[in-house]
Amino acid sequence: MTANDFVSIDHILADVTATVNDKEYKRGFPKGWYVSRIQDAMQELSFDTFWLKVQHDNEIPESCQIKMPNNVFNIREIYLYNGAICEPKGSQVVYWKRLFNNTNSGGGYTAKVKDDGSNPGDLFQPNQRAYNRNTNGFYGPKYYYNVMNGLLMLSESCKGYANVRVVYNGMGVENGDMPIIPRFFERAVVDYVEERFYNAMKSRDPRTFRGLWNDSFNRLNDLRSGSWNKAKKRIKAMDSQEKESMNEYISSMYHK
Amino acid sequence: MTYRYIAYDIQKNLYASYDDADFTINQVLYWVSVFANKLRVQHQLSTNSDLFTSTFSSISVSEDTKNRKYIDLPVQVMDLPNNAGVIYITYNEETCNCAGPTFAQVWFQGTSVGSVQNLYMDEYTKPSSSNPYFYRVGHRADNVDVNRLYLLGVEGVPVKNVELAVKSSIDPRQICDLDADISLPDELVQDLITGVLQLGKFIMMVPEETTNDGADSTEPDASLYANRAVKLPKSNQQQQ
Repeated sequence: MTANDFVSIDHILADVTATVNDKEYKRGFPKGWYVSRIQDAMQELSFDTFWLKVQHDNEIPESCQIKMPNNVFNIREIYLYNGAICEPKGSQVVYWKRLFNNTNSGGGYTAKVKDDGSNPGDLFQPNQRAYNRNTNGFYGPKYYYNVMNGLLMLSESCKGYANVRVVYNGMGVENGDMPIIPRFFERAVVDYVEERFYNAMKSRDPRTFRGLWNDSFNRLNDLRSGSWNKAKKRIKAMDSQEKESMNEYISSMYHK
Repeated sequence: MTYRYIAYDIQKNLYASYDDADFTINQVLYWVSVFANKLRVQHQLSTNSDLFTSTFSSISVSEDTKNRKYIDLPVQVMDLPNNAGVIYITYNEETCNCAGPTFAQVWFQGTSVGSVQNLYMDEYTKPSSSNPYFYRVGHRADNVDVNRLYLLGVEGVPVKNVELAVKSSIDPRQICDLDADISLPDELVQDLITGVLQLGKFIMMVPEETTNDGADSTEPDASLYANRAVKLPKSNQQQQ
């Protein structure tokens, strides 16, 4: 996301409560309920659009295991590096290794395929070393990770570096903190909260609120004009400079 | 429009219809306040105006035997849906009383005793000193008649007093001055008079004895009351 412009919670609340006729919070929902729905909206937008990127830097622990931080759900990039956290030097990309599960220090681990390519107990692929080994005796990258039991597990070789930088997709703020709402999501968030309100009121007074809920549902989810889909399209349409650069890069690959 | 004007007008009308009626002015005043309260609630629900709003700049906070903070309501409050009879309660987070800078003013939100536990299930609705709630206990607490608002979320805060605004009802006991204005819009006075007259007529239709306890073997004297039954034919009379 290349924007640093946000709307406040009160801005959203003023809009929503005027629409649903609850400016005094006297219809059975406290202010916190609305804020909770705003956080829900931001969370759902995060899952649907991957708009939020969060970076975490850690020292490589002796156990080679790092607890996954809260409010992140998708690893985008992992780098090892030396030097200080604010001044990385000699970075190295870390790759994902399927079914890797270290117990402690990265030295003792289980995986279907070892980092030397061996798997002697497998009846069907008794020794993958023959297939994987290249002329230099190299069996693939030694810098790898996997996530098991909420732990980001690094291979033993990663201890050759001082720090690890992980870039995740975030879900927004911690539950309980005030949500942060980018301006281009404002309509989607407002419509989402209104839809949730009418949905909740539907069970109390179906005759009055079913129609209102239906309108709000369409306002949010309509495939052409719904604010939720507009928000998703906006995210995809953003980062024009990145797209320009990527196009130039790809087009010049075969010509220079 | 004053109480005197309306009450005497109604009393006169009742006497004109039923010369045997024996209504004191206090009785009429009581009916006026009863019916005025009903009209006030109806008017409030239809207009949501602030015509019946009463504000109190400082109400002392007390603690009960279980250290729960509460305030005693200084007036009778309309019982509107979702505690809408209480417009706001605020305290100042900086000074812990009703005075202080505007930015630190905290609003209590209404809830009900039964749904309090639900508030604690969500981080955003959980009661706290910056997100406090109130609930009403309007009947009895430990066998004592009360009319309280309990405060939730300020357990660890030494709140001394709060500011309060409510939609108030008329308390018949506090009508001391007949020349005071009745707190009702002028356009509702006609409804008030009609309503009280109907109430008076209805009461006069109720016979003295509605149950037969066997102690009195004589026939009830229906003519004592202005009763439609008087005009009805006797049961042993043949209808022509």
